[in-house]
Amino acid sequence: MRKWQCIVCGWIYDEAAGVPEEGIAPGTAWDDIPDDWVCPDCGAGKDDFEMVEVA
Amino acid sequence: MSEQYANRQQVQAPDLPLVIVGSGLAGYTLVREFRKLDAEHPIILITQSDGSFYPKPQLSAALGNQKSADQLVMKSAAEMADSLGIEIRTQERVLSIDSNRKCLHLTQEEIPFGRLVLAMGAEPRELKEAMNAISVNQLADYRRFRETLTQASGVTIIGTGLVGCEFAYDLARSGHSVRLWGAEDRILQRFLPEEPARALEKALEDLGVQISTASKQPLADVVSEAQTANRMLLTSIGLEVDKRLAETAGLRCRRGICVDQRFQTSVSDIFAIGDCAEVGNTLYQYIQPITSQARTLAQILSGTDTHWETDWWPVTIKLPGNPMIFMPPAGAQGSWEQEGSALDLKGVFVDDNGKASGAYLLGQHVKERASILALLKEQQTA
Repeated sequence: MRKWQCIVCGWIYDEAAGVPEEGIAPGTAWDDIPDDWVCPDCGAGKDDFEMVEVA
Repeated sequence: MSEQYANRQQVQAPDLPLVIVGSGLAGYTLVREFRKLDAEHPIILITQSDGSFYPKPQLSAALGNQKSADQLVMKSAAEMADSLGIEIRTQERVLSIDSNRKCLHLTQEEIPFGRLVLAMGAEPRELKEAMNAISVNQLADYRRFRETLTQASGVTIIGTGLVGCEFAYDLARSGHSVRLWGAEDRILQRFLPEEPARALEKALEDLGVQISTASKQPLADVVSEAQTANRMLLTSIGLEVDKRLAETAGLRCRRGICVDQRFQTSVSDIFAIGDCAEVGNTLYQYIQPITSQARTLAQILSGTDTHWETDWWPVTIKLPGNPMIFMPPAGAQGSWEQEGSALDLKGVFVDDNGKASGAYLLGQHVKERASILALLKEQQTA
């Protein structure tokens, strides 16, 4: 499981946790998130996310 | 918002660079979005800071996340310049703008521009009772905040808006002694009605934050108490746009630099976005509208005929219960319809015409973000 960080606001998508409140189930791989999905905190698109090391 | 300034007809000067002043969220988002549409056009970005790119909303959560100023940096100015194919002048002050000759004056040189974008942000308002207080509005401020914190016996925060409350939470969860003082009778008064505000106050108090207000304790006492006890004074009482540079160019300003829905100022080929821009009569000093403005301006600068319209921007707050606020229009008359209890609260502001025109969500209700947004949009256009 990987984590991806929004480079605009710093919000982190954790594949293990998903975003259940947005209908993205825990365990959803980054690649399986729809291309039109946007960062829940700042509205940035998927291409504004970068993979981050798991702390 | 129908104001339209300066002649829109653009005289293309292909060789002259697009010059951007400011390396914050607005400036860098604009460059990144513009580069998606135009990989070639020369861009020069000028900044007073060291030009590091970092996620600004993290400043008020970085202590609890155990991040130093250096660890917040995602890319240095050199890395940004390289990855975006632009030139960046760091630690450089723009002294004046000559809008007739279309050039900027720096300390040592003159930079001509084809088009100019002012994205220089706003400054934390200073508290005249405590001129040596710290405000955290950019990375360098955070560095100073962390240094001062190691020598302070605790922190007294002045201002109970979003930033003040977020810092209170971040400091308290990191084990610091925190006092939070506000001029208003409850925290987040501008954003929330009484019930959720009290629930959040209780959540902060449970973490050890001592909250007081002007009606209980005068500001002067709070300040002198902090100074006597060697507590850090942290102020967060709003932002103010420094208009002096814009005025050297003859740009029309009110609270910010006045722009129309194309971010055009009163002078052609000069634009403004972000914290420093007043669109219509409004300053949009939150993450979502600023990134949205940057995306729209990138399209406009690369030749698309479009304009920006405001929208419902959920403001998420880093506090217990993950409060999310959809702001009611300023000055609207109406009442709150609320449900839930403790930190699981939801409220919808219904105006006197019966339309939902604002909301807040806390705790479990945060899940309803999408449906609340849809409701607000639908009622707005109905």
